[in-house]
Amino acid sequence: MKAPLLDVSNLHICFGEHQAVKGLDFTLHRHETLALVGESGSGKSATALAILRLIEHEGGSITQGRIRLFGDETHDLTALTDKQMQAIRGRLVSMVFQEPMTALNPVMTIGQQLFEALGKEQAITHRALQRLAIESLERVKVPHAAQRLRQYPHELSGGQRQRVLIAMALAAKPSLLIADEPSTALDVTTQAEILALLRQLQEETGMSVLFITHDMGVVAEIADRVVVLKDGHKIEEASVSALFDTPREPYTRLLMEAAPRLGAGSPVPPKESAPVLDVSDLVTIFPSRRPHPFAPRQEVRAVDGVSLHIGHAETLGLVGESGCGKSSLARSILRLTPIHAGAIRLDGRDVSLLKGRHLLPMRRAVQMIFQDPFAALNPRLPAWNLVTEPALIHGLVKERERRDLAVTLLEEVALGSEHHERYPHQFSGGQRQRLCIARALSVRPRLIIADEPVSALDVSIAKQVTELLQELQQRLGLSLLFITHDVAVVERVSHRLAVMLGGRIVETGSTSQVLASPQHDYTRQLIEAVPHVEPRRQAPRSPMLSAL
Amino acid sequence: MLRFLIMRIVKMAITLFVVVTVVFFATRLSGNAIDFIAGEGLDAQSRSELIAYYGLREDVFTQYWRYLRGMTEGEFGLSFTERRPVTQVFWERIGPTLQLIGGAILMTLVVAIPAGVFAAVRRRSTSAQSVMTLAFLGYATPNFVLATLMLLVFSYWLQILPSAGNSTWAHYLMPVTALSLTYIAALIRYTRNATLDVLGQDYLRTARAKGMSEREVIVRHVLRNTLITVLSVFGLMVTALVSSGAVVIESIFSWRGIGDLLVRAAIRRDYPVLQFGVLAVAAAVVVINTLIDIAYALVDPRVRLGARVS
Repeated sequence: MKAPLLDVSNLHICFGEHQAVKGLDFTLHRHETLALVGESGSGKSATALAILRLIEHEGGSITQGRIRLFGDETHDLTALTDKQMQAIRGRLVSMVFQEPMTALNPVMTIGQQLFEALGKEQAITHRALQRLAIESLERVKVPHAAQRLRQYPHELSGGQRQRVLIAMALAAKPSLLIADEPSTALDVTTQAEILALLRQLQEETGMSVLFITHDMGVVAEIADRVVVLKDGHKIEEASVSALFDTPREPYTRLLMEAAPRLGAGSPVPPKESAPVLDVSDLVTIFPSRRPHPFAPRQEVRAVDGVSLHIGHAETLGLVGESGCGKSSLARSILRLTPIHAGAIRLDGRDVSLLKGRHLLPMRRAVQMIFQDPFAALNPRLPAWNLVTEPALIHGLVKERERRDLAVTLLEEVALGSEHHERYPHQFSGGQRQRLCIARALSVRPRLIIADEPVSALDVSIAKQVTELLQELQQRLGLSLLFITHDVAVVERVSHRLAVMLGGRIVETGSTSQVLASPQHDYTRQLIEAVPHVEPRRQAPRSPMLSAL
Repeated sequence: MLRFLIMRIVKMAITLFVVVTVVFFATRLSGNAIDFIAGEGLDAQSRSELIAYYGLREDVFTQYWRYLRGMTEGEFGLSFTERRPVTQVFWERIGPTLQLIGGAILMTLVVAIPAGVFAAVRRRSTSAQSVMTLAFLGYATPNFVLATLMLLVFSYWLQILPSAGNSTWAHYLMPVTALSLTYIAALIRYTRNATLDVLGQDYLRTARAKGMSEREVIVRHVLRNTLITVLSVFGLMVTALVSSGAVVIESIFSWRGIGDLLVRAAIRRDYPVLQFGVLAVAAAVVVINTLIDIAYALVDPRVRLGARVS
């Protein structure tokens, strides 16, 4: 039998005192896709960075073990110098990273960055280089490739940037591609496209892929074999079909259950009631830049005549991709952005024209939870201070009673008293989102707007946070507007769904009804994009994916 | 771009008008120039002739109106002390000052940016830490202290550098060094911090994963991103240098430049010189700021000149 392409044995990785990977063994064969699965902190990304020996630049080090390429002693990557590694990086082994938004240099054009990857060994003319670059972009299905070369990263969408990064990684036709959560930061429909693209490129080139993810749904879509990591140890290894048929470890099963999928059923709707929030024909317009002073004034209708309502203790799921206007809608309802037409009624009272301090009671009734729990908390304030601040502003608590209130609030979101004095950086992502929820609860709101509250979290943590929101809803009779791009997440929490596209609501109805018989093409696309938690289905892929 | 420039020119005109007005009236609040020009014991007849000669007879608003009219024809009045057009007085003095400031700007850039990047990239090495210690000392040393110290060592004891004048390149060494010291020290610290921020960015990992060497990563990916942050601070420094920086150093090294001229003019209530000087400095500051903004847009493609911030 041929030697494996990649043979990792007894790998130990340390970040200072902290041991991130503890004796990891695995092999990756030619033309194979191996998924390394685990939650944040399991050591999967550290392993990926160790293979390229980029770990030293991130403050870590390989303390023990070997990483052999081509089963060849001369290619023990742990023994090579940085100079020798430079010849391997990008040529034999390349990598695609999680964050397409930050992985490209903002001050260099797409072309300049692609040329670096393409023109490494051959001294070729600029014209030839340009042709190669256009070909490589066309291979990853970037439209208008020639124009893209002159554009800067901020002019491209997240999905397009990830394609550019894939094109860069594949420029020198590597034998091994390491993909570290390449689709996690993207919308579900874009994620599906990127996964389909990677699969297709692998079939064309015959390269091996080491795919790193926390999402079992993605594993099922892409992998041949799976290694499950927990706390730096390998706890299970199996072919993807065997793993999904009979997962041995309870932890593997936990990861599978956490993966968002459709058909989990949606919660029982509450009794009909007068709407807590009633939005009618809401329009929000942003002025856009004019090319020159005499050009006609242009505008972006971010919210274009939206009507919706949410009843007592009801959850409305608002689904749509980035840029569809769902966050603008949330900001408009909160009156954080000027609205141009329409009415917003809270418990029957029109709040769309209130100004200044008259907004205060309304601000108390509606609270918000944001997507990024890392950015939403002031890093200089301790937990007890953070969660009670809104209550202080609204005069619901006296300064000296704040700590007592914090005790109750943190209890409500299942955080113990040992957390009170801690600062945001001492919490995990899931715990921070709990803090944000506690902060929203501090003023006993009628309605909570949650804008992608779990998109930045691992799937297993995301599940816990959504369960917490549901439990709080039942206990406190909260109404929820749950904004997300992921249909599978929203199915579990919402009584009703509204699908948003281009500033308008294109479909609305009860969750089960919309998912069972979607009326709009776009809704069907969103449903198709959800990964199926079952190994690669042999049935033909959905028309949208095969069209790519 | 065009829109941006037009807007800038309009704003510049308004700024300069306000500057002229404020300076015109402020200088005249401080006392009577004739007392200085004429000295003690002048008879009333000659005194009144002098007042007429310098156009100080009318009330202050008429004077102001006449000054504005003169400006449109390139007339900025006569220097009270030198008795010739102020533009002529300035013309002789501008060269030495521009050379001094230009030298200091050049030296600051050439020394501080490489040193700052080095201090960030090799931040744990002894040499990088020495750079930062030196920068700290330099920041804490007033430029006139360094200037007098250098005069003592190089001109008085060792006698290898000239102490005054600007006839050879050796004359430039000490004044330029003394003038740029604070700016070098400050810019090293800013450059280091900016570079450290860039060094933590994801796109450097992408660059390394392509197989680029550390040197290529620094030169191609780090430097330009560092410059974006450094540029705004650098702009402030150039402005500070132009508006007030060289005054002390010019006095110490007997450098016959604008700074020296303005200090003397202020002491002797030579209004026309003072007015023109402040106007020239204000114009220079506005022009420099515009140039820095344009440089900003050239370095950072995300910046669009004249775009409204939403």
